[in-house]
Amino acid sequence: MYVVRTSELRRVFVTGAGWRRRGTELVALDGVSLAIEAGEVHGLLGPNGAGKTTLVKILSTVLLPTSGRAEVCGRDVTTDTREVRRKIGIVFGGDRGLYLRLTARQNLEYWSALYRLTGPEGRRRAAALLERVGLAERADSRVETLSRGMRQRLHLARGLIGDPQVLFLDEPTVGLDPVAALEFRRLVRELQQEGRTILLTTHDMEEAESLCERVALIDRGRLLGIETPRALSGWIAAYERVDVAAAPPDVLDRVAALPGVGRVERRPDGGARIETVAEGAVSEVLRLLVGAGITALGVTRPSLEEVYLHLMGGHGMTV
Amino acid sequence: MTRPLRAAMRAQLLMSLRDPGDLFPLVLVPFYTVIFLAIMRSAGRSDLLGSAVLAPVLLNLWYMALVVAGDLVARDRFFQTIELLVATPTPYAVVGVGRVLATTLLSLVAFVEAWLVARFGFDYAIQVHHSVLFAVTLTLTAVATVGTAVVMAAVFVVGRTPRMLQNSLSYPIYVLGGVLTPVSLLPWWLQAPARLLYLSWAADLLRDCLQAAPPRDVGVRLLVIAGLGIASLAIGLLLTSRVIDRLRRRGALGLT
Amino acid sequence: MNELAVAARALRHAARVAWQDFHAQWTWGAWFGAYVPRLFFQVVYFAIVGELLHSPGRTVFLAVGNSLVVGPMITMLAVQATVYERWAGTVPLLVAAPTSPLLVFAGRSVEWLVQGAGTSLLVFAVMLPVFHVPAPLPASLWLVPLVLLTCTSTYAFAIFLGGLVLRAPGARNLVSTTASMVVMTLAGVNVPVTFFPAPVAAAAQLLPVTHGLSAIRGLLSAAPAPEVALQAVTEALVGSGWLMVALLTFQRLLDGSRSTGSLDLDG
Repeated sequence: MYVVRTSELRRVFVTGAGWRRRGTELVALDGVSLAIEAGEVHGLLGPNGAGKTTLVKILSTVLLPTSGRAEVCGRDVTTDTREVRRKIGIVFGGDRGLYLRLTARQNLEYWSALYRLTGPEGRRRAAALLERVGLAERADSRVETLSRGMRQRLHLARGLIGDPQVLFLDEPTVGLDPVAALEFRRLVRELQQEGRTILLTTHDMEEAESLCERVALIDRGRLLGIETPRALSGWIAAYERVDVAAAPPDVLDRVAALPGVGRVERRPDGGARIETVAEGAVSEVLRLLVGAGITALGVTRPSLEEVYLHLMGGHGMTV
Repeated sequence: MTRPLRAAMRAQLLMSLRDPGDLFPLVLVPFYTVIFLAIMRSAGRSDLLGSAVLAPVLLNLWYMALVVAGDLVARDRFFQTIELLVATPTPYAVVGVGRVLATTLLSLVAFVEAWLVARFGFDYAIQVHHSVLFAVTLTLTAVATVGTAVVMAAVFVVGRTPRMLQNSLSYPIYVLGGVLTPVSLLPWWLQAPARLLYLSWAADLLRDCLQAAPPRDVGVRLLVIAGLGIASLAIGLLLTSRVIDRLRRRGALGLT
Repeated sequence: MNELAVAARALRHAARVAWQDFHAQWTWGAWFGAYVPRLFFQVVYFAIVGELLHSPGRTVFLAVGNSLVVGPMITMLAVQATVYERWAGTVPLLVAAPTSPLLVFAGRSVEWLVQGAGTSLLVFAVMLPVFHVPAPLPASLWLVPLVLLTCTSTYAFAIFLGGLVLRAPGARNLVSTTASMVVMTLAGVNVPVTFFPAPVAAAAQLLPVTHGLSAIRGLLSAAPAPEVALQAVTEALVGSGWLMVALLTFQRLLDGSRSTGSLDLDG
């Protein structure tokens, strides 16, 4: 049973159009077809500007598509807007979407009214959600006095106030410190266990890997493919890098000859960056370097952009 | 629909009370009251002192509605709540009406200010001879103000309207609305547009309530105020819905 | 370079910034298309009370007073410009520079002085005939310097207020609008200054506009030249007085802030 489904969804923005100017067209989504099953945590992974937020906005009825179709819980987002809105919740990243001069509780109760809860229901649910996200003690503090992490949690509570079947989380952990982000992920897992369907957009591969059952890869408005988290972690492992402070040239030559090593970028100061292109290559590189007595080294994980660059080069994409 | 409306009103009231900037127009009321009372008193017209006290109240009613109308969407864009609001099952227009209604009610505090200035600065206690009619008229006026403000809010969203430009709708409306002087004093070609404005009818009727003589054609005049108010509310709701749809289509909801 | 040349140059540059500020907020279309008509209606709003009172004399009184006060009202917006300087983070840089910061602040807002005077004259040009205010030429041409004088003394007052507001930028709107309203209420714009109780009337003498407006009323009612001149000179003195106070306040403010370190706060 598909809870969210899009078919050839396309969205074009026109910017800079004026009185006599045509303006430039920007294709934010280019024929995206996607299907999310009930109770699934589905990831949408892509760099900034890939079209993730655009897709979420269309699914949450805030933006109309240029062409194509999108359905949430069997209802068309452009024609059955009211019905769709009853069933969804949205959480954006950052600490926006709250009225700073109202208290946390007042914010939630306000939104509860907009989601058509009665007074007593709204108050009850607000209190319960505040408890759940760990803000019960600050319930009556004005939002402007809350830290960013707290605001983010309040924003999540706000997204849940309508008891939505489907939750859209758009880069929800951006700007959160690692502890807060972990806490957030724990909450997301809980929500999944409650049977909600979640679409999570992110540019953090680890996050996608740890939370999602399937991950759709998107870049420049196009869906590149749907992957499992395992595939993702494989890429992360494959494209890791080793940075060496100083190594003799012959050692670096031996490293370059190892299978699974892509490139050795030598620096004038004697240091180097070693890029791998295969899973398991890093451990071989490290073994070699440590064996040669080199201990000043560090391993870094690739960014999403770097992984994409490698993949575009054609190294093992399953589309 | 009433719970979302009341919630929006409550939120706006709370925010306005915590943000002195929202209540700023109330600072101007005492000054205007002094000016109008001074003009009438220095002319020896004690029969016009009542109008002089009423005028700043109506002026402020309109002005605060104008400001909140202009700020409505801008504020939601600033707090980045507009997309979230649109994504709820409650129409955005309902939230808009609630917020304008709260501001309109708050603006009536001007009455207290004007009364105090008159009483203690000019030793004049305003007398309302027909208090029930006065209350009814004032209520209808407030409702009509809400309706008109919603129309303005929808119009302001489409254009980019900085505060000063919005400000340009103040005095023209005070004149056409007969806030201080009846519109019958205006040249004929201004009287027609003035009569389309609920404010001119309301101001006349409210002033008549201050006189001992029973006001004439009460039924018709109340009907006109109510009618204009309902019409503008209906237009405002329709316009708002259209404007929001347009923004959704263009992808410009969240843009500042 | 000698002091005067330095000062003039600083002023000129500051004025250039001011001009750009204005254009950031306004287009000519918006100013003349929307704001100026609102000003016409503002004069009409008050002057028409004279019709209500069946008093042509009062109509003239109100029309003249409100046509003039438009200028100081716009000039008073200069109060806000000092805050823009603070927002731009340039205040500490100004303090450190050899030119007096007051000059920069003065130049920064001079745009509003020009706008105010020019707009007021425009309003006069339209409203005087509309309300049948006799304005015999060539004597009425003295209106131009008198309006300019009144706006300049208001400007000095605005600079002083701007200095106060530097420490409390959130209050800038409140201060500039309240000051405008005080002038509009007490400076003889809508009722003669003598209407108010003696202490208030006395205080009103120290406000900008009070004497300038008196001079303009005298001019338009063909009062003897010495009377008009006397009021004009008094207005100039009031303006100079506020400029002195502004200088002193600025210096103390900036010195004080330098020692408490409170100057740097942006925004």
